Amino acid sequence: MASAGSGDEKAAAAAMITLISSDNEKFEVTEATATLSQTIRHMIEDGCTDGGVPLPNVTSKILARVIEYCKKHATAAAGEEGSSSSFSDAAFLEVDRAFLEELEEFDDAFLEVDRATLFDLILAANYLDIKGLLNLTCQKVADSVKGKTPEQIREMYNIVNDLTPEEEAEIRRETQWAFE
Amino acid sequence: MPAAAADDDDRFTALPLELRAQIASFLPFPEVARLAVLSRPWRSIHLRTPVVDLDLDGFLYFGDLVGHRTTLPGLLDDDALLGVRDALLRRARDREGTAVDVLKLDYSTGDPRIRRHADRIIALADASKVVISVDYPFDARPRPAAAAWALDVPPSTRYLELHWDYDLAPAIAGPGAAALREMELNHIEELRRWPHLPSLRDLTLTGVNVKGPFAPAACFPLLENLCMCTTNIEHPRVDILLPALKILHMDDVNVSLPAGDLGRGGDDPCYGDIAVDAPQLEVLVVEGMSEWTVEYKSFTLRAPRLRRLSWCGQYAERVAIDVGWLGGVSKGKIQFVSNGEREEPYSRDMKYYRAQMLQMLQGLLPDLPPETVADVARPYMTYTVEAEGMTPGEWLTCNLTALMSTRTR
Repeated sequence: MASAGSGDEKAAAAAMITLISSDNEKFEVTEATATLSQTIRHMIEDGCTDGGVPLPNVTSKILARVIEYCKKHATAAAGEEGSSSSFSDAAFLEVDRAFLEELEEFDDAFLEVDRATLFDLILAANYLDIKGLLNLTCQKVADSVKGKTPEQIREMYNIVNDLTPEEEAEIRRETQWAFE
Repeated sequence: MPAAAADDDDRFTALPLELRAQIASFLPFPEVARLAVLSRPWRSIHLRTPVVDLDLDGFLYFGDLVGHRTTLPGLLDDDALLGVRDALLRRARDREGTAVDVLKLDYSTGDPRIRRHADRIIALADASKVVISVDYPFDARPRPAAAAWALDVPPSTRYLELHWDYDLAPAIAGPGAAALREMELNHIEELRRWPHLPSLRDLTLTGVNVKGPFAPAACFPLLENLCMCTTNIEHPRVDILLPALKILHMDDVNVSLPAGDLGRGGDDPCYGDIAVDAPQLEVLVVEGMSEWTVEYKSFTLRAPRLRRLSWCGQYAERVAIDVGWLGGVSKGKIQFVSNGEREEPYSRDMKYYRAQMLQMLQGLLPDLPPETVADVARPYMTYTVEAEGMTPGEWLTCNLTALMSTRTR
């Protein structure tokens, strides 16, 4: 298994990591769960996780959700690691289709959150560098504006149009091709 | 963390531009450009998305008339397409713009004007990853001549993916061809000439019909991963001679007579001689489970560094495996299914598969006297019969991982 870094025995298999939210709540997670975050993975590799990993940009409410996501996906990620090529590995790993479906259902349910939480999750996923979660949440926002006019999008997200009529006319001229 | 945000705050615009651009990347490019009028912070969003996703047919009106008896070419919105090109030009030149990581381009080839625009857009975007999906109006005549199909790979492109629902593969050339690292070709009716891609590491062919022999080694001198799925090669011999190949995956690779050649004859269902000679090969996966795939006349493998082998279903009349004088395979399996109950289209008796498995094991265990191999391997072979259920039939499996682990101890 591709465990992070050093030959240090402590860093092996069942190591636990403590994550500390901005409101000072502590979360104990396995290394496999935590390293879905590239940011934390690098911290572990650099050996600076003793005494817990402070995450000043993430509240306990959001961190709990992020950990929920990582726990579910850590099992899936374990299978993808180890070798460079995924297509040939499939032949040597028993791919659990049922689990993959379960994962999709989990993701769908996971996204059933209010807008404020969704944006908090995007910021957290970006800060923690969790690619899967970032794509998932960004896609959700993109889907919500798909096919909508600028006016509809402004209304949906309370976007205040601070352009002068002249500026707006200029941008519309420049992007006229997109409005036809 | 900032103070708790009120519900009517504009959280979307409050995101850093980079994150908004990432969100917008999931939208078609015209929709991205429409976001530019939302407010001042959105002004240059279409110059910042890492992905540009364009369906050029959206710029053609009444295009569905193309190809029918009418010669009406459809109304192409040239101004709009020039607008797209202008935006891409600005991305390449302006300081506020960023390079395009991924260009996704969809278009039909029926209209040569669209193809000219497509070529310009590919060049202007100069993306590191290019995904092109082309389809062709089915009844359009006449089809463009083969010579007209050339795809110029821009200098920054490292990954190229073609979904080419069309007769002929394009010639792949241009300034970026020599630097291309990964290529995926999908649904190509005729691949006649292999491109010369000196830096290519990964090649995937899916649903490709190769007219003529497999690629000569000189085309892909550095190729490490080769995957061929439901691919047909119209040539009696398939020679895979790749000096740098590490992983080979053959999933339903069929071999057929060159079109027009009726010389196969007889009742022999086996056809094609496959020869793999790959000094660096570590992983081989062969699957031939579909009725579509022919049974091979022979399969010859020379791979002194082979570590993993997974072989499922594919029958070959003669299998010669040379994995060096000791044999280093430590992981994998060999498995065959004989659908004894089902007649169609044709079902091979398990005894043939048994013989093939033994041939393979003798190759994998070169240090053992051939006559002892069956006894050594027997504890790791399982034979099951399923009379009912989804897939009735007989299953014969050899667990190579277990077999080999007893030997290396």
